Amino acid sequence: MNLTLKVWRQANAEAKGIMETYPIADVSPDMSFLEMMDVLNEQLMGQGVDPIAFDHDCREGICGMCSMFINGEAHGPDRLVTTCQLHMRKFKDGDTITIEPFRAQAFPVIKDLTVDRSAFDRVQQAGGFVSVNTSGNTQDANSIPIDKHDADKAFDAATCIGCGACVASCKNASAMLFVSAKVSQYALLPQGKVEATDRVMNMVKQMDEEGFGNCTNTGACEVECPKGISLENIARMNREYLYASLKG
Amino acid sequence: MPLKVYTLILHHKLNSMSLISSTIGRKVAMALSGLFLVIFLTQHFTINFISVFSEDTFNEISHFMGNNPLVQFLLQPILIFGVIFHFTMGFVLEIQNRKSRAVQYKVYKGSANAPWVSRNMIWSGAVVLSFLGLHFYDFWFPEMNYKYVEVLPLDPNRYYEEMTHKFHDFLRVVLYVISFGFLALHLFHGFASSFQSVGVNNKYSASIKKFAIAFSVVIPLGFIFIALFHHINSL
Repeated sequence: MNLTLKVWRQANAEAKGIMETYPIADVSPDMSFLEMMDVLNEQLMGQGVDPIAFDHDCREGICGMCSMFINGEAHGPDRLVTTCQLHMRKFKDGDTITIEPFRAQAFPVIKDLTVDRSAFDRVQQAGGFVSVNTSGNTQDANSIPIDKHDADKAFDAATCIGCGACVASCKNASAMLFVSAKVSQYALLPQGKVEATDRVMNMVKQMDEEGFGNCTNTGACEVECPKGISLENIARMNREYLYASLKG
Repeated sequence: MPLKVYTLILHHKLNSMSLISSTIGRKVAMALSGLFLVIFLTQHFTINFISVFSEDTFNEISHFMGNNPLVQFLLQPILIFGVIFHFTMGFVLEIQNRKSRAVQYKVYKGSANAPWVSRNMIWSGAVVLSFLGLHFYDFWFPEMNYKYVEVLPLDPNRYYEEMTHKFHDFLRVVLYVISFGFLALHLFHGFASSFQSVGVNNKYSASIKKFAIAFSVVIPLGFIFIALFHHINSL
């Protein structure tokens, strides 16, 4: 396949970025999107052009590192996949593909397509954990009976890889799907219920301080999430938050 | 006061404040004010619809609504506050949301993952707000002028004629029809969405959504029918 790529180039966080156009030839439909980017970078380096910076790590769809906004959608046109699992067979010969970084005030661009998503880390640090008593007398988790439905829902929420596609897709750059997944995975389990009130208050407070937008229930986050995290989690977080606020 | 109690009260106050100032708190406030307006809309529609069947009953109810002190001096101010709160909060949230992504995408395919109505609530809401301006000009201001400025004598039989007189003008009817179309779009997303905002997403959600969608189609269509009915009758 021969393609035309329009890629966001930005030298650093302070620099003004622009879209650059690069033609690329002989792209195999079996390549992953990131492999295609690797080929483009080799081509650019051969021409003496600075290669395009982009995030990636496991390339197995589980680390949440890759973060490209492709043809107007986070992780591209495919569903339930990260950019590294998007394959070039989803495109046609002669296509023009626009590639941009995830955009949000809370996700500033570091260089080209790499963005700083440490806002998610700070939200997680604000309460996305269970304080564990490591005295040696801790009850074995397997000995605590948990309703199968709750366990399944907690597991579903825990599959969130924190890639930020929800923020990137939301017209308001809201982080509620991410935060609600982290709140839900603990709120549904007895181990997490002990700190549930403080957790939701602290995580939402941190989320707001990071400058994410308000949720308007468009559902774009759920559609674009590579792990299929459901809007049900946002409703649960809202309930948890209301309960925590009124409980005082 | 024991320190522990004081700390608890302070903690409670902080939590209550965050309920108003947080993203979730504001979202819940939008949802609750929206649901309140949906209830009002139902009541307004019911009274208007009666005008199609019985001039006398319509006059009777309108006279009651226009002169009952509880309706006039308690419910009406609450309603006006609800409307002002809902649209002011809507504009405030829109400004905040736009700030959350100061640098826009070159290509953003919103239609790939979210319906048009959900992404354009600010515009459908703005049209409904403009319509409210026209509606107040048509009915509310003359009513306030009649009762409280000129203090004209009570006339329990004037309401039906005043209303049908307004619908004689074809351009006004067209504006009403367009506005109700946008009201339908606004309700189409807003009504069902408000349940999600207050934390309701369970086995009843599919039924709630069906009801909300039916409501968002039937009520505006009903209002359009009433406007057209009185226009045609006045010809």
